[in-house]
Amino acid sequence: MFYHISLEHEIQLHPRYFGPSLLETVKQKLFSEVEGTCSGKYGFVIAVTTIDSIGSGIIQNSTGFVVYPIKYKAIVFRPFKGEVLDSIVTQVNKVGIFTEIGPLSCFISRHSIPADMQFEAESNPACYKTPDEEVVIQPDNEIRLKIVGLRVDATDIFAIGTLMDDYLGLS
Amino acid sequence: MEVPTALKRLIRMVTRGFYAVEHILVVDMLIRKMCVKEDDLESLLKFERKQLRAIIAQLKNDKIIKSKLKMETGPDGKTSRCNYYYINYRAFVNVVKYKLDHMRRKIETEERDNTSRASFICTQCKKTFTDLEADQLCDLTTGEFRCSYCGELVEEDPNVLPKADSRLILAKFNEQIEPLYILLKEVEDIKLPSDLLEPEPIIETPNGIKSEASVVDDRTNIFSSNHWKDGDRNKGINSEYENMLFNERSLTVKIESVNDSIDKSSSKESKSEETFSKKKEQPSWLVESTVYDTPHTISNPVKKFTEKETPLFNNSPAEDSVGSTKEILEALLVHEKQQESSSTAISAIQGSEKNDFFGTNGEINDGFNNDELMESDDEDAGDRTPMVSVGGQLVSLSDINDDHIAAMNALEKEEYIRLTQEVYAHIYE
Repeated sequence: MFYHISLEHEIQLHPRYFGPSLLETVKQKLFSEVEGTCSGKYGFVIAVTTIDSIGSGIIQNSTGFVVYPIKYKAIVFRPFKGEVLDSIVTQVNKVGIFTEIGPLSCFISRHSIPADMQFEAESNPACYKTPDEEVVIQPDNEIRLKIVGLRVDATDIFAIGTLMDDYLGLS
Repeated sequence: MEVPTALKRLIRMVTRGFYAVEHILVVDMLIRKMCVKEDDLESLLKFERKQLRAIIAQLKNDKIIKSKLKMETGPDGKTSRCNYYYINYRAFVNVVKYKLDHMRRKIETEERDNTSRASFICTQCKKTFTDLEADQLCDLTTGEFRCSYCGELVEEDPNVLPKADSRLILAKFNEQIEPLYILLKEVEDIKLPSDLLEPEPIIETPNGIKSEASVVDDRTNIFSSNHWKDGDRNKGINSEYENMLFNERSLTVKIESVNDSIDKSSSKESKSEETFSKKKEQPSWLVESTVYDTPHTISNPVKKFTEKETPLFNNSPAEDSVGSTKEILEALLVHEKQQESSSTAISAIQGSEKNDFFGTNGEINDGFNNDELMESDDEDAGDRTPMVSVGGQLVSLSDINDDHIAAMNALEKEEYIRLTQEVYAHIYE
């Protein structure tokens, strides 16, 4: 699920940037440091939308670096168990299918793939397909899945999904 | 008053679903007879005492039936202790709800455990992995699973293949228990008077103490005359209990789960008994849309400012009016400066400075020229160095030192930081 929330971040800036476009540098640094990161609590930070305030910079006494506390708003993507999402197949093998949902990678075990779909190792690329070949899942296909489990680390999220429900699979 | 048929059906359904034939017979007898002495049960059902005791013990343990101990005086003057058994319908309904919830929870845990079960095992070091760790195993170049510890091939563990699809189990449970849920919903609002919940043992006056021989004759009565007689008797007592019915404080188990729509709707019906738990505080982004037109907020710094301001005053209602008006004035001054440097406040201060100037110099003739000079100087100075309020006093930005910063309140400090950033951003232009 996507959220638009207020977040805080501290930027450390080398003294060489002290000059005309100091605040501009701070903003650029915030974008590059924050966008694309992942925290277990808020999920993936997709994009910074607004910068609410740049606090007073404090110069560190041993390095000369300046630290700016920044309050900003960002769009974050936090997956949840039970959520239904569209994904892109990245890899297919005999134990299951690996997919990507934007920054989130998700694994679908072969036990969570409908029983009528069989792994086809001979075909190129490898795929899962029904006997009548009506449904074929292979890399780069778009499939809809439901998240059944999440492993949330401090800096990463990994999901396992299932295709065993209504309206899941190839769309 | 009779026990509602829905309740009777519920208890029959539960016993038939989960108990052996002997248990069903005992419970059926208790449904018919309300409150039965142990000896009577024994003779009616033709069970051995030992067998009966075992059955009753189990039912009692499961809280399906309850017992009462009574002292009775026999015809020979001897007192003996007698166990009477009955069904407390309210307790029974609660027990059923509780047990069904337990069953559902057990199935759900099983389902959850299945997703975190170790399904991969290393061929070399026997390290096991769950589905959730699949990303650490997969070698994207070859598509093979490699152990994160020893680098050997990882294969599916054949010993822990999922038994049946756990989701099917839950679906099956819901399907099979549905009639029970419907009945439970039906009996939700039924309130029984206490004479039905805790029935008094029926003492048959003419042939109250039965001998072994008379039992056979009695058996025919049990289902007809005696039974109805009791019903009439209860009716008489009823009015007495009717008031109690309404005043009765009953404790009802309410089990609500998010997934369970049936439970939810049933509990909605009897809101009167529910203690309303306080609603959890919702995060702001759920309550109101986070999507608003940004240009509006940006182009309206005035509004933003006042919004920030208001809680400050609201939080200190005890503050004396002088202090608060001063603070308001201060906030207004800070705000004025933002828009135009030649605000009334500043000019007033300038005016007072001018007066001092005249006072000390005492040169009135030159003073006029000085006055004009001063005024232009002051305005120039005002343009270059904005004023910052420190503890309610305006101080020129260039004169700010550490003491001033320490004396600032949070709002002033924020404004000071903003101003300084602005000033230094323009310094090179």
